[in-house]
Amino acid sequence: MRSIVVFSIAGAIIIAPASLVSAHAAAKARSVSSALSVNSGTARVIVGTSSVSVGTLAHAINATTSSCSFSSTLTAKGKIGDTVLSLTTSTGLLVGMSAVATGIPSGAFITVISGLDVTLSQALTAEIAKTGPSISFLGCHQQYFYANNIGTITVSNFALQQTVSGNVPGGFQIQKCSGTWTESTGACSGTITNILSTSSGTSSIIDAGLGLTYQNGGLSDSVKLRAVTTKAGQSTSITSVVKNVSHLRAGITSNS
Amino acid sequence: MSIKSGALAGTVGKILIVATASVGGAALISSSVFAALTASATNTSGGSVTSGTLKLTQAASGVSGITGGFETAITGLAPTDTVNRYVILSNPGTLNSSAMTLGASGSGLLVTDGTKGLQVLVKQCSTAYPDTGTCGGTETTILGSTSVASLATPAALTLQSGALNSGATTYLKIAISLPASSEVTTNGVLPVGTIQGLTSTITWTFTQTQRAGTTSDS
Repeated sequence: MRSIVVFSIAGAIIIAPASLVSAHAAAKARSVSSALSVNSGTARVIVGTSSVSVGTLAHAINATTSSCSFSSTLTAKGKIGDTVLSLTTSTGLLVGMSAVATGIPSGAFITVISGLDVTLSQALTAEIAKTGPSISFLGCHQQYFYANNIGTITVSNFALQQTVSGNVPGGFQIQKCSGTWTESTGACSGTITNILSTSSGTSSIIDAGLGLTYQNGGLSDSVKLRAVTTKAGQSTSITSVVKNVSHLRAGITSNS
Repeated sequence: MSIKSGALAGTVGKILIVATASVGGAALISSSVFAALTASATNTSGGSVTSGTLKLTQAASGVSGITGGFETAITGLAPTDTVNRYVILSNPGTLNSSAMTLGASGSGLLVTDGTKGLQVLVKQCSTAYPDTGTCGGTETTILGSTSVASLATPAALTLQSGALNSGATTYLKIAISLPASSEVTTNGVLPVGTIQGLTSTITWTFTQTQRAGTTSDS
């Protein structure tokens, strides 16, 4: 009996498994990475006097660097729904000037000048006779400013809001040009579009419909806009707004 | 008198004999305790006992274009952006593992904010990921989208093969994303508590647990 016990112990030692694990203290193995740096970008748009303006304040515009108004009669009757009017003269007219007459909706302005023909931003709501009354073209009390992307994320859009001081007849209009502005004449090589038009108080927050790219390591995108009103001496304060929900570029999935 | 003396001497003699016999008997009994028989046996070969090893290593993918791993910084992340990083885990030890977890630690809102902060999703491919990030083998999501903040308490990874066996390698795609947010920035001033413009460093920890202990007869 004693011999059996002795040989069993010896056998267990000789024929031991190659490796053993403890049943009561499970081993764990960890692999710890180096510290991964993750940086989130910023979506920031400001408005200022130049394409390199930065800052954190609304942009104050004391408009109206010039005053130019004009009046003309038509060479042909203007009918309801017309947007193109044929004038007896177009001398002195500038794109962006407000058109004022019975039958022209409030806030309508010149979008295109082609010879004696001018295109208005809004269609006639009543006929205008060939013989009159005259149509007054007011405004070109204007000031240009820029919206600049000072963040690190491209925005597909941004919004503007303005607060107009006092009451501005015809409204303070914030306009964009699909082409290039010529400041000396107020002309746009493309199409002028009103972003905002506010007669008094604070406007709604309105999308500009413009994207501003972020250029990594360089000067980011900017766009020139115009504030124009029909009366000298008016002022407005323009605020830029970027909403993450609707203004950021689409998300990007990358492999790196 | 001589008779009495002789009788006395005979009595003393008997006592001595009995005493001597008693002592001798006791000595004889004691000698059996101190002189027991013993036997021993010692193995003359083998006897080696080796404990196993449980090891885990990680490395960035070596495929050109996706070598960022956890070493290369991620910058300018916008809400809804996703950056995929590729990591290879290996078990060079001699023991199989039974489970794997992933933990993450760091500071800053990107790491600590479970709602606005970073999200992570982990996929496993049966073969090495190419630079397109499209698995050519069998791909399995082993950790659904979860906040990095929640990985402060490591989350279990359910590996495709159930465990990372000794000598095995697995290929992981770590999708790091910034969720959509509703922040509004006015005049370039970021809102209070913003998730924008932040930098955090994150340490990722994979932990595997040994297989269950076994009892064998051999």
